[in-house]
Amino acid sequence: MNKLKKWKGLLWVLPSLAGVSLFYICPFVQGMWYCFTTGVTKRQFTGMKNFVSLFHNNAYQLAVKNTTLIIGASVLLLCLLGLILALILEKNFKKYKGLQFWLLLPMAVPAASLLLLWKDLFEQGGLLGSCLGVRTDFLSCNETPLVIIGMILWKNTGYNVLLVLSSLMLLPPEYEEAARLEGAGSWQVARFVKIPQLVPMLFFTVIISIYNSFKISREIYLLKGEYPHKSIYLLQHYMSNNFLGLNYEMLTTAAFTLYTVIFILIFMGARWQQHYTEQML
Amino acid sequence: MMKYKKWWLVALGISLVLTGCQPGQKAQKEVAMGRYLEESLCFQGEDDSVQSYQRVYFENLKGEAEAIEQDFAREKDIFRCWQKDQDGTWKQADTALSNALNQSGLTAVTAVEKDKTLNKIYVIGFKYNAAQNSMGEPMGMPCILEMKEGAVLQEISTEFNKEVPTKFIVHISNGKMITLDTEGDSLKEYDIESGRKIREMAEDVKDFVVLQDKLYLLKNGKNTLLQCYDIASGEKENESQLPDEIRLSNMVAAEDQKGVYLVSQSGIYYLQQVGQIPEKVLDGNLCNLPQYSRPQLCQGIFYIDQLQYVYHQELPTVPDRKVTIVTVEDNYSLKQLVARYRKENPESSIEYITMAPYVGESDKTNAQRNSEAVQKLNTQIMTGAVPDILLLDDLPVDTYIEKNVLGDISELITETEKDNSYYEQLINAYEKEGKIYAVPLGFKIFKAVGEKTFLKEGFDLSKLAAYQRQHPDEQAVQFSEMETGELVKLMSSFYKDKLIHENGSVDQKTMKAFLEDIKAVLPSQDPNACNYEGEPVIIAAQKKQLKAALKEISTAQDLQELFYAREQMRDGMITSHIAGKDACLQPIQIMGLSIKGTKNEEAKKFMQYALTQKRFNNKDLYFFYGLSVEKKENTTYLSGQQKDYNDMMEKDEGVILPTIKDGILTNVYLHDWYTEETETYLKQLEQEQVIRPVNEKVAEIIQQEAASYFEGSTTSQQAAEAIKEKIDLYLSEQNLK
Amino acid sequence: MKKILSWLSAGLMISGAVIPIFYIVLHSLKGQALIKEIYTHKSMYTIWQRMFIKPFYVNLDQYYEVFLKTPGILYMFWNSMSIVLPVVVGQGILAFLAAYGFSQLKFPGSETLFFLYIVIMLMPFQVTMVPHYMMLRQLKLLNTRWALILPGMFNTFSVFFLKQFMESIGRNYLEEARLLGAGEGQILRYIILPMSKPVILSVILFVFMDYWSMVEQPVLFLKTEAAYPLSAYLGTITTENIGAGFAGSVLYMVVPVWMAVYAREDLVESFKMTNLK
Repeated sequence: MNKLKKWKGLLWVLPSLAGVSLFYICPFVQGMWYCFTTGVTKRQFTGMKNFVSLFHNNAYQLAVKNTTLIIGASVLLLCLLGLILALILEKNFKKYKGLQFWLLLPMAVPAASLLLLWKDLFEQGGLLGSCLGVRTDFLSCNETPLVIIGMILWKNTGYNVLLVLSSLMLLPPEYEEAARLEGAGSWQVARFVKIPQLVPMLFFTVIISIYNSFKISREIYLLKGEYPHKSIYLLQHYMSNNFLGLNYEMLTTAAFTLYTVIFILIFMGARWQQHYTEQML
Repeated sequence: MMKYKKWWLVALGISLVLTGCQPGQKAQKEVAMGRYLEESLCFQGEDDSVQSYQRVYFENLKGEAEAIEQDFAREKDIFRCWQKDQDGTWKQADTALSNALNQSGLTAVTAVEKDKTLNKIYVIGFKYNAAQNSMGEPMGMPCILEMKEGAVLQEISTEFNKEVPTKFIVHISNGKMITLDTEGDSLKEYDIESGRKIREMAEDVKDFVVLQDKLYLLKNGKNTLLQCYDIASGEKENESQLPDEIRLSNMVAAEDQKGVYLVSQSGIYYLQQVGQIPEKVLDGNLCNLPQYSRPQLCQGIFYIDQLQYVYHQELPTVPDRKVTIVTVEDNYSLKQLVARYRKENPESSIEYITMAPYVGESDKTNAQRNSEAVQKLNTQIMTGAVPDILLLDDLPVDTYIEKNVLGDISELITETEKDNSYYEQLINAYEKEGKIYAVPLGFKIFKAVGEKTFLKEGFDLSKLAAYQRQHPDEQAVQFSEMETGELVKLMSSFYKDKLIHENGSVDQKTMKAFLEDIKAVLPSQDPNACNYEGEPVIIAAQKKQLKAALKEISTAQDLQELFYAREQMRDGMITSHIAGKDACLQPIQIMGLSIKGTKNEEAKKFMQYALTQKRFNNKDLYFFYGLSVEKKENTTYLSGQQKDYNDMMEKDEGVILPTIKDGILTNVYLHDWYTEETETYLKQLEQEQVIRPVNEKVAEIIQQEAASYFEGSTTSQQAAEAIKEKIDLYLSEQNLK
Repeated sequence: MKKILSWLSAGLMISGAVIPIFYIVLHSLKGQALIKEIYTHKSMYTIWQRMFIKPFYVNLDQYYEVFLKTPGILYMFWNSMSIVLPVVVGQGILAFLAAYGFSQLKFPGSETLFFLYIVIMLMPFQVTMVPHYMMLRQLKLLNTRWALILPGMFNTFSVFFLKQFMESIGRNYLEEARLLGAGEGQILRYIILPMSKPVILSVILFVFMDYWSMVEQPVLFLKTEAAYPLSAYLGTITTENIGAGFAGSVLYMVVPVWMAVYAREDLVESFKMTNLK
């Protein structure tokens, strides 16, 4: 009975797990098998050949570089901005009725409707160009990653601020008061009292930020097509173009590699967070 | 544990319900018999010179089937009448109505309708009168005539004339007439006696049908709506949206007055009541059902444009031998071919699938539709659902060859080659390592009209560009019927070897110069500034097929063959001489057999059939020459016709032939050909070589960057750099380098 | 000083959120012909001229087109609804159950399985596209709405979100309930469900927005364009076929924005609860 009881939780997960296995895990496993094969209509086993050619591929290297840069920077900035703005807004947050709504609004605006605005802002002769007095197409130049990061920030910062804010408001005030009594300034309070307590929330925020940042590829695709400027050529481009070229195995190999990395990172992050929280307590 | 069993069951139940109510495809019906087949024209007259007609009427005062057609091709409009005899064939006959019409002085007749309640026939048409337009030509005035005592047509109600613009679709009963104004799409009701307008019934109407006392309206927009009105009260009773595939349809009432048939390109559908799901009675995928053409129904046979659709009881509804053909865009010629094949092999079924069907006023650009289609098709291919035969236009042919999607068809070709010598050359376009993967069955020719110096000795872009830079005001060569993008693609195919090194990388310097040259020769904004005088030249021609077309012209046995061959040439040459020595081509209707298809005997058979057909028949011609299909031995139509034309040309009359293009009647000016000319062409073409087009993706990249350069947003240097970068990226990404 | 800073940042963020919406709404009030004109001859106008073109007068032509003349966009709107609503409901129920299992009734390997869920959540669509397509074909779901709804229902995003929240519910609290003889079903029904109402609402909001804006799946799995959701249509708007696109965009935004308004209180509430540790 006891042995069975241990598995009780699985029972609750099962309905979801059934569907997840059917629609996500099975396809993913099958996709993993494709990593070691080649051919379109008839698949042949090739061993590690796909991985070798993937790592030697210039386009892939470029894509990895750009993706790490853009997604990494956006996630970092998103979390930082979320934290800083939340700390700034904290005191007065209750006064701003309805601020939550405005923070959420960018998320509710569909990407498709925004495309025309992005074009107006960043294309040649757009607002940004005329403000800076240059005639550059900011959607295809070396500075484009900054524009893309800007787009990600615009869409997700508010959400992250809300996430952090809500947990800030829940922190027990005693610690802060104690620190204040000891003469700590705002910065010190934030650094040594508040942030450590926010760590679990920040971990959650990081994952949500990664999830949201990856969605930018759709916008880039809609804006610039299959082959954008090389500075914003992302892994998703590499994958979908290889799909169009019927190199499905390269797609799955790239994805598999990417997800191994993400898995390890998250796993390590989670471990660290657990460790850190335990230490705190 | 027992306590939460209930919850568990609920969750299970929900997931079961959700998975259980999949509206999966219904099982195929059991083998039933009977289906409609497309058949060629029934009205086969003796007079082969008849070139076009419109059929407007179907029942005479006695209630017999009688068809009135109007011959447009003559100087004077002629009305001919056909009657159905006992074995079901239509025979030409002089009837009271046709005689009366011919004597009436009417020119274009837009409607002949019978008022069944009063047993009268009304004709709406145009009549020339004394008034003249600004050009000093007589003006056609609309009029309505009433058929009296069998033969005499009497013009009625002058008041009516002022009200009535061009009317096409009409219903008459009880002395009241409902008309559809084809320009304004508005539906109005008139009293015939007084000619007064009774009421305006609806707007934005594309077609209508009157069934008993109900009026069914078809409204076409982004969505097709079918509305039902009560005629007496004018109240809307019912409305439903028709499925997407029945867009752009026309209607005809069922003969038992119990329902309506909807005819669109995707098929003929029967609908008994508004709101019901239409039942498909004919699959349009394999037919040539036109858009915007009003169908007629007579004794169970549909008459649409110049084709008829006859029900065959002895044929199985779903044939057992199956072939799937996939095309990106709807292709009339292919459909035509399929239809003909099916007629010859009624026991086999060919599934014709369009990946990016044109559904009415779509908001998507062609590029978007195509890339979606390619993505869909690739997914299908990768999941193993490979079609047997692919029409490779707009598809990445090179990738498909590379990835072994296409099978070797050299076997099929060697068999058919014997009687079609010209295919042997065409075939090389998609030959790789001794295997042949696809064959273009058609070609497109671009033409350039301009100064002799630039065209006669072979076309040279940089030479032309240099001249244009010095003389920016004139235009030495006009590339007609060509968008900028197409021109870029064509030219980059032309200079492929210079622009792209053997290892695939782009020569940036040459590319820059190339872009600048193209910009210099681009047609100027003002079309009037173009210099049309000079000699046309083919800078792009799939020579061997062109040669074949020319050969056909010189050896054409009858009018149809002659016109067919001319039609093929029309895009390419208007008159006179070819001068270019280099040729560049745009192969079209590239057909390939997939690996899967090579195992399907029926698919192979069809492929072979396509090859032996030499060419796809052209729908325009099929329609147009419907009346002159009949071949006669030992009759040299060619010379006879030529003489006629020569006479006309001498009199400076030209030859204007009406033809149906995209469902719209247009006039095409055909020029004459001479045997000596053809021979000159043949000789020149023999010396030329085939050039393969540049890779689709590469062309796309060049086109994109070139466009932004032409717009002025980038410099040629930047554009060339971007092209090099992107192409390098593409090549390394696809492991092609 | 701090107050100014906080007002400033709040103001900045609000204006950042408002401007694009203002832009879309403003353009939706211009006639179709005008929109077409300014977008095809883009280089002739500056962005200011384009936005506030003179003489400016409100023209509801686009809305007329969307709602009355060619109801295509309206139909697509309902297509969207009929796809997204089942997804939201299904995912809500399934994820609620699973999150409970993951957080309160840990079993051997539950952590690893949960990591798998996170990775699945982060997986882009193309990766599993081909096997996914094969699966749908075998299940005979292709060209039906269920090809979008069923996989959507099993998306793991809300499991991740809800689990995070349920972790924070004190274990002792539930143990007490168990000792009092409450079954798991009762705990779920009478303790967890009321507590997690706001969280579920916010999850619903995000799932809704996710599926409201999907583009690739409908294009691939649905045959007829008439069955496409609005997002797939809006994704195809370019400057050449702009037409009533702006009014369509407004229609498209209305539901998520309304939901954001409706859910904002609960949302903050939910974030608080996520941190209840």
